[in-house]
Amino acid sequence: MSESRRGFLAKVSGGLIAVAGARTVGSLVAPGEAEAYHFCGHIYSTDSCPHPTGLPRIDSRGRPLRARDGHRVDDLGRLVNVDGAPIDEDGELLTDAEDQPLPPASRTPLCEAVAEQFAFPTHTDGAWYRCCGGNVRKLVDCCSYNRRRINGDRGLRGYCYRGRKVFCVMYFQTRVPC
Amino acid sequence: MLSAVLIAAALAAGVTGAWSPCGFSMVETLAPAGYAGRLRTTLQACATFTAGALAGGVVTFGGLALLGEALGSGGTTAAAVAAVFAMLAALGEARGVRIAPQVRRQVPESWRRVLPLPLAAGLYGVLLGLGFTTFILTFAVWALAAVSVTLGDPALGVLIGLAFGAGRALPVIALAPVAGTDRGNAAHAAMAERPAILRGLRVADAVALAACALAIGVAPANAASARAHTAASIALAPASGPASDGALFAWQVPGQTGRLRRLDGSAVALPGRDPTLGAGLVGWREEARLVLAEPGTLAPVDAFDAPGAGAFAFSAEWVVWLVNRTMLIAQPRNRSRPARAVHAVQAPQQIGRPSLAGATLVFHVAGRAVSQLVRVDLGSGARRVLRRASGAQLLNPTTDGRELLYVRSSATGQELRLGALGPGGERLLYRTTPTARRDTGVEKGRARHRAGYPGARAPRLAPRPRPGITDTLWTTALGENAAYVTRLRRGQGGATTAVVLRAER
Repeated sequence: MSESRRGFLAKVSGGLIAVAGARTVGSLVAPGEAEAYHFCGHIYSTDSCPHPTGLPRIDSRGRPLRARDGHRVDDLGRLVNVDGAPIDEDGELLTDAEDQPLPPASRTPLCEAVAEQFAFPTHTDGAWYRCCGGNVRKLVDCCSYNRRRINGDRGLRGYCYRGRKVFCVMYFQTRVPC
Repeated sequence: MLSAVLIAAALAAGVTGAWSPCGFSMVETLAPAGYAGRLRTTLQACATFTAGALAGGVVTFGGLALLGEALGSGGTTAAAVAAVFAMLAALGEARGVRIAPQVRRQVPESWRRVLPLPLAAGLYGVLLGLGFTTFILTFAVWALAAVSVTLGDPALGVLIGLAFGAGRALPVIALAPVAGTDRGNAAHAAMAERPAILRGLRVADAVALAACALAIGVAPANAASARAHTAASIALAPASGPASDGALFAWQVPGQTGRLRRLDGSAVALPGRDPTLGAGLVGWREEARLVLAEPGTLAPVDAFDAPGAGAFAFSAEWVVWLVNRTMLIAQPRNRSRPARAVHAVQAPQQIGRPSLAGATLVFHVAGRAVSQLVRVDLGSGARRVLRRASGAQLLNPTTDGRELLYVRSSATGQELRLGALGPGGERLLYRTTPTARRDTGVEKGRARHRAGYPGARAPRLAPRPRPGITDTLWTTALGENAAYVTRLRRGQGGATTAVVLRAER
């Protein structure tokens, strides 16, 4: 009897611990707001860095990519080939009326373009990884010593170092499945 | 100038409105001896009345201007229409013609009884500021509405609205606090019993409207440029590489030879490609030979051997040609010096089409690391970067020796800009969508951030080109009254078409 009671109490307390533990872990690793923001994985309200084609997708060196297919784009948002020449959706060079290729434009790392646009130094600091669309996504902060973020209100520390604050956010979509 | 006279006309129109049934009623309503009960409430009500009137004015005239902008108003024709409206209204005012069409409505009387007076006054102010919700005392109201639509300049519309609202509020807030005093009673009596005052105000309206008509009509180009044009019309199609010199206009028909339109309006096909104009002559390229000719007869007057030449330019003193888009070569027209390279770059950098005024040469240099407009003085060899951009492209400048016309292209839009050749301000002549089509800025099923933005409103995103359309603003030309730019369009089939657009200067 006492053994069965002890066993029952052990099961109950074990269950309670399990539930409490799950809640604690859940509160640590699964912020419900994660899905509320403007791209997967981003769990704070800082807005995107200005990007030539909208969503702030970047390559491993911080340069802009078109979000929907990961194609390289230049600072004007045009698709470009490996040489930086502007191309159309079929990969053909964009040309003038005499079939001469149009000139290339710059392709500036997004966080550097932010520095030029807003006229203060920026740094690509830390990052965090999450699973998005079946692949691991790296969430990257473009940080500065500016107290305000791109939204206009006070910046958050985010993944920034040395007292810098998040000015705007970017992401790099890896090919690592998850 | 135009803004000033429109503001004056709107202010006068607003003041004239005080002679309406509602204008008189407002003085009575806001008076300390009336519903206000005390001066402090009157002053509060005057403040809210003013705010309401300003808001109402902005809504009406700013809204009409927005409507005009959406309808594609602006430009010389629209300015002429606006001038006609203003002049007709001025005549009506000068002659004291009875207002028609009239709005036979009044503000709700019950508000001042059932609402706190400052609130009622604010709402009354909005209705009076709106202009068309109560009796109209001057044709200027109709004329300003028409001008707002036809000019299609929202900023100007807001100014007109503010001035009109201020005019509507001014007599009320000046008279209401002193109503019941000797001075107030005398002013009220004068308003009510001396038709000459209203008559004088209508004459003032007439003068202000005539000044508006003059400002708009005499200088239609200025009126049109009071706002940044967002519209340009197709001048030629298919066409590219425009050139303008006085009454002469030349262009390239893609895949064919150049064309020349003469002073008399007749157009002729030229014997070569890459047509250009300068010093009263027309030029074209026949393979590696540049020919300059009389525009009337097309009889050659000069020719230059230019191996590998593409686009070229000439003036009375110089001829300059582009080779492989990486080198510019110049030679004096009198051949006093041999041809020599004046600028060269390494591919993939590109040099753009040259433009020449006297000895002043301008061109673009575009590459992955640089985008700049360069000026070279061919006489001295002095070189200067006129404009430089990061994150944007500056393309195909044209100069007449005083001004500089060029295309600025970025991820948010493409602009045709006109500014001083040296340092100085710039005007936006034409703006269109960027070359590339952006996404919505959010992933599917998500929404844009609002947190932190003023009023929780995220900034507006840049306009997008239609799906499958890739437009590029390209070569430019500077005419006496208009600016021209080639629009290259890559459609879904992969073919590039070209038209020449015309924008008012």
